[in-house]
Amino acid sequence: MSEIPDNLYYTKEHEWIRNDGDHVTIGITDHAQNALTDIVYIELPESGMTLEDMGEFAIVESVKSASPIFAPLAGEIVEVNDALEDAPELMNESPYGEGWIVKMKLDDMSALSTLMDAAGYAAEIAE
Amino acid sequence: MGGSLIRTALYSEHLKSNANIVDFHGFELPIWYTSIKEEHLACRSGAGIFDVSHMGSFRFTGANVRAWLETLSTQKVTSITPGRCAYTHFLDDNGYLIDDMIFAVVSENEILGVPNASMIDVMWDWFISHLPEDGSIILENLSTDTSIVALQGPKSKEIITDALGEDSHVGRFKWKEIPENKLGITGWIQGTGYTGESGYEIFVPNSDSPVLWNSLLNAGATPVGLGARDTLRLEKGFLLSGVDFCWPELPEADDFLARDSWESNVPFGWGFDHQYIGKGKVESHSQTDARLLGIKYTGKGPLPRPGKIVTDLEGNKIGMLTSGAPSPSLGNVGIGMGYISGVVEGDKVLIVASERRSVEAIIVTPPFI
Repeated sequence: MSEIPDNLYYTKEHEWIRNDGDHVTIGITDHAQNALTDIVYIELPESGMTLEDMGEFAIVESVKSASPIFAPLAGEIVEVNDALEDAPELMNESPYGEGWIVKMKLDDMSALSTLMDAAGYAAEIAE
Repeated sequence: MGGSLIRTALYSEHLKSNANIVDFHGFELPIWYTSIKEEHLACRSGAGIFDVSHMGSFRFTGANVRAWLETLSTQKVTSITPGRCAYTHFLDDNGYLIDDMIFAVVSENEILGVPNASMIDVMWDWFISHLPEDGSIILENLSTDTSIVALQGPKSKEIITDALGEDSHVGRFKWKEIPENKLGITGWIQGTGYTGESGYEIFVPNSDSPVLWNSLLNAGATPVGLGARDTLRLEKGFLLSGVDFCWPELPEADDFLARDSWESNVPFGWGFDHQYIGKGKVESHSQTDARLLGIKYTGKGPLPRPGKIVTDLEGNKIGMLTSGAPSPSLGNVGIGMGYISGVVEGDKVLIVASERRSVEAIIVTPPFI
């Protein structure tokens, strides 16, 4: 069974979003890293990049495939986890911790409430 | 391929090993069981088993069957003696590669061949259209009744001995009938494969394949899916039908590559001192035609994948990749193969790896390991 922490928001694209007050932190879920298996590369965005809702900002590559990662909500990227450049396997080993991908300042923090909670995501992946 | 998907005789065995199943040319086959990387490395260091029952199985019989097949194949079939296997290409009248095939010369009067899964119908029609009018060669399609299990890796001999007895071993590119064994299975075994490791491909009736599969599993082999099969073959520079060549044309080839690429320039399976269909193109190709070459990343960036463009260091387009992946045996460094013109081994090129990044690579002649 995949780990789905209670304190996070989730998307259908298998990202998690943590509310850190003035910004959010985004990564891929345990379920996603399991499905991708060994992650070997991530093409990271630049800090300062502005994104529309569902804008593509990174590409995660496993041995077999390349999968785009989308912004769950509109905003600006304020920090990028550069450690992933040399250690993309952190997304496998610690998807909710050291494997975080970016921090974003959302245009509208209240839009977070439109995302799924842990129970919603658990139901989503059970389908 | 339309219609319903085909399950091999090992489908329920795959589910027992928690396989992730995909549609591969109309067959439901495992892409991986645990992870591509783990399965890849298990095959390189121990032994892997692969369900390759989707591959075809043709039997050609008749007096002078070798001389007849030689008129169609790039390999000099008459030089392959009974009990031996060989690799060949088949070209169309224009010299374009239709399919490749491993075949075994069983006797003076019998050859067994393994066409690629997606090419079984095409190759059947093609062989039929080239049979002698006097009916002296008979072609049989054994594909749907035959299961094929590949056992590959340095521990293969130990495992085959455990499962089928010492007498079942055959050397590289040798063929024989499966001797009497404790499992009671019948068929034939050949010292061939698609991983570059020592090992076997075992051909049995569908009803015997679950017993064989489980016996090899119990003897310590790791089940390996199509994902690792692809990275294993890529590291050795083996071509994949429908990807590195595709008849009548490469799906992603644009005008640049189109049909004048020297696509059949691979370092094996060629005979130059006999006549065969399409030989004219083989002899008359231009030195400037794009050739099948390997690339290995020296820089960092998004990985090389099929369809990515190759440029020189000034950014001029000189080719396109047909295969590419991180190499599990080389610490996930990007490797690929494609049709590239105007370069030699050791030259630096760029792979247009994403919209934002091109990655430096060097030209290499496969194998990569």
